Amino acid sequence: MFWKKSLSSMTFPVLGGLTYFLLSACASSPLGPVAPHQIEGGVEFSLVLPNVQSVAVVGDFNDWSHTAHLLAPEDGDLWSGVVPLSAGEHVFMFVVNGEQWVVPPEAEDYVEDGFGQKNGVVVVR
Amino acid sequence: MKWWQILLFGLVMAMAPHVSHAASLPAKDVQDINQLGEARGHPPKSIERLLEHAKQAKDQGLPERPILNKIKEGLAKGASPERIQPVVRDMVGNLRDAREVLRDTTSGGSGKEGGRNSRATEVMAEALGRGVTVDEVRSLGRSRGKSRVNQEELAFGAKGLALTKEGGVSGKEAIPVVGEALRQGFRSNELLELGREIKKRGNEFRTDRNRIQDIKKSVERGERPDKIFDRDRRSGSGRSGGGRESRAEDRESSKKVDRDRSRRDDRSGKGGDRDRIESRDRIDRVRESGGNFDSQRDRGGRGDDSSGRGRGGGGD
Repeated sequence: MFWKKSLSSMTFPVLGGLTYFLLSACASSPLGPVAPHQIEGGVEFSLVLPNVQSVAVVGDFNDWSHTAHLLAPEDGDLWSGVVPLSAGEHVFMFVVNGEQWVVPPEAEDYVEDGFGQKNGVVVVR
Repeated sequence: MKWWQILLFGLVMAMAPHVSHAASLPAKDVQDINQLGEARGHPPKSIERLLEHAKQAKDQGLPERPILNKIKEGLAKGASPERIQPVVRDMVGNLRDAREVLRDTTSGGSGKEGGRNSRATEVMAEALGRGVTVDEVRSLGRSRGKSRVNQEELAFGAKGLALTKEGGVSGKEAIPVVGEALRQGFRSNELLELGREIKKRGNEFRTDRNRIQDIKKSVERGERPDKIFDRDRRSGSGRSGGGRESRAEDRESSKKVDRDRSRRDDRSGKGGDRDRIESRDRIDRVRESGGNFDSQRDRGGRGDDSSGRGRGGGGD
């Protein structure tokens, strides 16, 4: 776990989006990252990330607002929450600590956002 | 003309650009974008130039919603107006090309509400923006021979084609597959599903050129994506390309069990609960109390409308 502690002690600006991506994908949750999926009441988004103050899911469904849908801390480093979404495709990213944009480590599909990053795609059937 | 009339005319003309934005674009969107721009410290003129693209789209009878959304996305992500400018300019161009190719290639609308044509234009524009060419769309449009496809079918077919190409399949190989799907009457969500599944399994299609022919044969037999790729999953095929998604599916069942086991009554104390969206616990509580989940939300309802905010959703 040394590597994880070392990484998580760094500051966010130093870590950058890529490291967040890697951390999310490799963090020591026994279950690892999970793609957004439909449950009763909406779509559940989750992200595994240690030592952060807030995680929000942002996308075309909330006008890219990083205050509209904050995830709640669950067990360990897991953050999750449910957003009611209409049927169809929606693009999304995560915003950590209100400022760091994170490419979703798991998604049904990915699409270029035109600004040098990739949005995750969630499909509501 | 008296002097005060000239002065009044001058004042009206000076205010014209501002008034025209406010008059033609949804006021809420304009306000949100202006606020975002101001918060990021961008000069109002640069934001106005961005809004001009949305206004142009609207004036040409094109849907302005995707443009406004992309401006919001760019500003929210901290992109400068100069960076956003070419993105939205290309989007307007794609919307224009989309409408043109839909008009030229199809039998007309979907036979449903007029708003659907706007959706078809948006979906087609997205396909063009993701690398499908107008010539490829025209080929796709000819796939049914004399019986031409309608706008919505062609738009979703084009997006399915875009996804297939993103999986590494060439346009030349992909068009017959998607064309066959159109001939077989695939619905919009099935056309997208076909493309997405092929994209997920991109590695297979790049290493085995016959693989795409197998898919085409399945489509010719009238099989739908759920059947085609479900068989794949059971036979162990499709793993290499779809690893991330498949892993997620595999983990889901164990995740649910684990959460049930480890659910805690008290929260870890990280952050406040007030503004947080519902966690699984809260959903359970609402469910148990028979309450209406959505009515407890403050802003979550935005995504719950059926106004088609989703991107080309295949919501048949």
